[in-house]
Amino acid sequence: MLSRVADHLYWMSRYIERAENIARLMQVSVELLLDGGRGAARKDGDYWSPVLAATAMEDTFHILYPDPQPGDSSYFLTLDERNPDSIRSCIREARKNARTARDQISDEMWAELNQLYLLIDSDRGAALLEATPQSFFEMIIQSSLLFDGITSATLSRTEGWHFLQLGRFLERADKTSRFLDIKGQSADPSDTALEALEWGTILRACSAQASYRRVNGTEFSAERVLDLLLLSTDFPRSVRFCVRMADEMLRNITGTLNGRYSNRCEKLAGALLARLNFAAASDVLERGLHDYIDDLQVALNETAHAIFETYVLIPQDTTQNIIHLPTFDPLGYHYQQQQQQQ
Amino acid sequence: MKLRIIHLTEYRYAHPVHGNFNELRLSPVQSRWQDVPFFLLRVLPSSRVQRFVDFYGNTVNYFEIEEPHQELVIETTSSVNTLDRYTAGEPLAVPLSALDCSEDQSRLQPFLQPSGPVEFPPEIWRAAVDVRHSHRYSFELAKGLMEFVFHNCLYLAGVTDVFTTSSQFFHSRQGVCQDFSHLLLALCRSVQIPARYVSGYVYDAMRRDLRGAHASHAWVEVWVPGSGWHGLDPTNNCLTREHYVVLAVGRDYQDIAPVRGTFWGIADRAMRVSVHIEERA
Amino acid sequence: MLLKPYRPADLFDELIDGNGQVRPYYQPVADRLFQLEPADLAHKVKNLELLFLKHGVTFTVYGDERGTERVFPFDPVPRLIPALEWETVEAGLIQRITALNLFLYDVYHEQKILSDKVIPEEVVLSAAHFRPEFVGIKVPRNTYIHVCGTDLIRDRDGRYLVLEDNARCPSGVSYVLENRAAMKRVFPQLFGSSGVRPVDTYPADLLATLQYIAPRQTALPNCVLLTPGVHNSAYFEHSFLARQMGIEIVEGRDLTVLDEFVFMRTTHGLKQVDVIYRRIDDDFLDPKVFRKDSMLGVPGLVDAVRRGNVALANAIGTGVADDKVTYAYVPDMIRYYLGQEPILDQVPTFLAWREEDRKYILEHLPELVVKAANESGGYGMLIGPMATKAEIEEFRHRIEATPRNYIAQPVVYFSQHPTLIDGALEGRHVDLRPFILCGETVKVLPGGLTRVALKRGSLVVNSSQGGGSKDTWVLSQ
Repeated sequence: MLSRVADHLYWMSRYIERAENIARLMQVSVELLLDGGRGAARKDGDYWSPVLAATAMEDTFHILYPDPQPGDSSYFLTLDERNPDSIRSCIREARKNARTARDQISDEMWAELNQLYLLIDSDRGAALLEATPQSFFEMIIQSSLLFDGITSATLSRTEGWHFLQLGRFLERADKTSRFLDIKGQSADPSDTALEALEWGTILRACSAQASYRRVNGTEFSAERVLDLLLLSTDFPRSVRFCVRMADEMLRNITGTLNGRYSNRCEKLAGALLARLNFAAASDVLERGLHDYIDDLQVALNETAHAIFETYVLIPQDTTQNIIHLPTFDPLGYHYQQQQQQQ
Repeated sequence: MKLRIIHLTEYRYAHPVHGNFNELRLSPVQSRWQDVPFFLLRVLPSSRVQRFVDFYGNTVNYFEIEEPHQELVIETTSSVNTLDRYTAGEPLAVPLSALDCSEDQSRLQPFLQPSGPVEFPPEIWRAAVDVRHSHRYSFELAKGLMEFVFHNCLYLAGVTDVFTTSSQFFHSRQGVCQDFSHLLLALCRSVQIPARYVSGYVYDAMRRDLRGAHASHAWVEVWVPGSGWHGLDPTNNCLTREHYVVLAVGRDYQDIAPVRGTFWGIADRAMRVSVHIEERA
Repeated sequence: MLLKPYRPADLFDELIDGNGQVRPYYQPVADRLFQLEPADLAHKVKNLELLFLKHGVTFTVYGDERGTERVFPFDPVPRLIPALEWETVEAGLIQRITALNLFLYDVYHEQKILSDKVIPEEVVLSAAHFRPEFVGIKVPRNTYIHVCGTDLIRDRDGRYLVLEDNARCPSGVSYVLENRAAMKRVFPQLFGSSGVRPVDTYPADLLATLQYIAPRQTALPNCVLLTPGVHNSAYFEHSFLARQMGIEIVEGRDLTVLDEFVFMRTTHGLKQVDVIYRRIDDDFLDPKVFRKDSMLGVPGLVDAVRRGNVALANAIGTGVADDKVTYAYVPDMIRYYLGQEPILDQVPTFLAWREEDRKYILEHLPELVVKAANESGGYGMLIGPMATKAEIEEFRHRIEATPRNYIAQPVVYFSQHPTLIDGALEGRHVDLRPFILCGETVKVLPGGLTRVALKRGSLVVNSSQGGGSKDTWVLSQ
């Protein structure tokens, strides 16, 4: 597969997953806003700041809106085209990547994504957000999940699939960890009502409330939430689950066995997975949630960067080796044999 | 029958040649039996292609490539719609004597004389007279002569060349369609049946392994007074019906060679000819 | 029902003959189509356009920073071409493309047609798209134009005239295929027993054409489609064709040249490329040779082409054949290289660089259509009878300043075809762009793209300027 196309597929699914996660967090936050009376009274700006933090867009927001008015931050996160990580920008980028890799995805995938884009990019999108924000967020989430389902039902499990899944799971690991960090940065653990409200928000943003209750009842404890969202082997939005999937996808691309690596990104992903495999929630809290997540973020970013270097940039370097080949024909044949083995 | 024909001739010269002048008789004849809605000739290296109509009514394209070159491609594409010449039956009841009182006689003289490779020394005349013995009608006799050629000669490529005469072939009895046709011409003419040489294509619709189906083919047409020219294919021992396409007619091969040319340079060259014929929808 | 209010104009009408009767070959379709309720028909078309939008069957509007994509408006009334009529058009196109290829070979080798003074030397040597650096370079199979889109119109008598040849990167074929698919889906009942010749073999034929010119004759040569990228107006078509052919669609940055061979960067290293179906103009192909500022091209590509290590379709320098001044000489080319008369006529053309022609043009500007020699897509054009005084004066100055760049033709009012406008049938001008492939043999896609000027009286059919399209049916008998 063309390196650039692999890159497009990876980013397409990353952006869709990103849009979904922003929508998830905003959806539960809007509910909290309605519940505002139960927590401390908050200004609009304050209220959205955890969401801004979770998308790492605080700085951009403050530059664009030096004097934020109510509604600014919500617009910034949803439809503002100047924000490269607004839901609208994410969907637009996802579609752009899809359009460029159009020959590698199924018609159904394209149609679903394109339809979502056409809606969000039109006045209908803004009208929907204005009238019923909840429906707007729901639509984004639904659409992303549907896209995932269509992908799984229509795309061959070849290289394209691996890159696509890689993007989705790395993004999801990143966002789940950032959601947890909202709590990691929260200052006051003594207010138990607020504590419960906040943990509840995060769980719901990750569609994890039911799973949590099934195991733990209605009591919220940091340790148990971390067990589920950070370290669960079964829950599909937990960081460990996502990293395990990313590790598997990477090894599928090269055909490397479990527990081994053949390039730098596999090494980094494998090492991160091993760390999560042997971590316990108590160790995390001991280290400090925020610091632990910081380390995690660095590891995730390094892995993503290594993927880019290995699969998108590296072929430029391999040119050095190829120059010395006496004839070019074996190269072509060689590649085709490899392709059939996949 | 609606046919499409692609005829490709490629020369490769071992050393650059120049002054390559060629005459082509490759465009199908327009006639009552044969309509040509499309004809295209492509010559590479590209050159000015000119055209004239020769003494026998054939269209001749010619060109000259002055600059040095090592490769020459001549490709024609034709669409031809043919009709069956024999739907009204064969012109059977025309006696041999009919020609004597025909006013066409003087016009037909060239097709009654020896010409180029068409020689008819006494032994050929003798063979023709032996066949005539059993026939009274001219077309019947012509068919008899065709059968004589077919049954007494063997199709074998590579033993004759473009200069082989009917006498040589009569002795060796081995050759290709050109030789079969030259001999039939000699036999016909020696018993006063006007006969001309035809070059063209045969479409092997039934895949019966017709001779000449993968190259340009040659056969003979005989004149039947009051009825016109009628084709006989001595190589395949049959009448030429709608699966035959006429490119040119003349006294003999030398008059109407499909591709004939001269060039300056070293003669070392290879030629590749392919004819592809298919039915159109 | 729909047909009643339709009035043919004083032009060639594709549906109605000179006696006011529906042309016989049209009758079966007319009978079925005009039974439908106008509102129903309009509704179906609306749904179809939504479907096109959903599936991204769009073109990008230039000069719009947000890169707006639009659906090419689709008209449901098919254009019919009877078998015999098509046979002539097809023969004429094959003849024309063969002559153009022989001309290009000649111009890039001996230039005999110039030394024989059949075409003035300065016409070719001054053409903006002539590439002197390619004189003497061998191209695979000696073919230059592999894919050609030739625009045809019909005059008052219904004669087909060649309006222009698009011998560089003609686009539009994807609409031919998509329109047919749409018609089959929405109006299956129309097809009935009409015997419409299929168009869906085009991608396979195009691939065979590309494989035919591969320098390395392996079992499966690596062919790729080179696109300027997702922002190009025809990007949909690029990705559509690549998908249909099952080949990679690449951008310049995906390719790299080593030792004069071309490779593409894949996740498993470099893979050699044999044939590039490029949808990028010559100027942008290789920043080392042509435009230095091109970000779209591949440095070193031209060297690889010169070495014969990679084949380009179309070859570099075909623009000299579709230059509008060269156009005036195509009939002479056909006579020169093929020894035949042209089968298809073309529009009489005045060349501004010829003194007497220029004088005529400048005196008759309000009656003529003036075109820039090297532009396409309806840009750089003046339609005299519809132009304002200021526009005419502007063109007068332009022509006087650079006469080589302009030609003029009498206005030919294209034939008109019934078209669904606001729920009723009205006559609109149509042209026809058949697509021709030159591989081992020359193949013409039956029909082609019928473009229709949706504005009443307009003669501009380009997608970028208010044109739409129709499905084109070549009848099998």
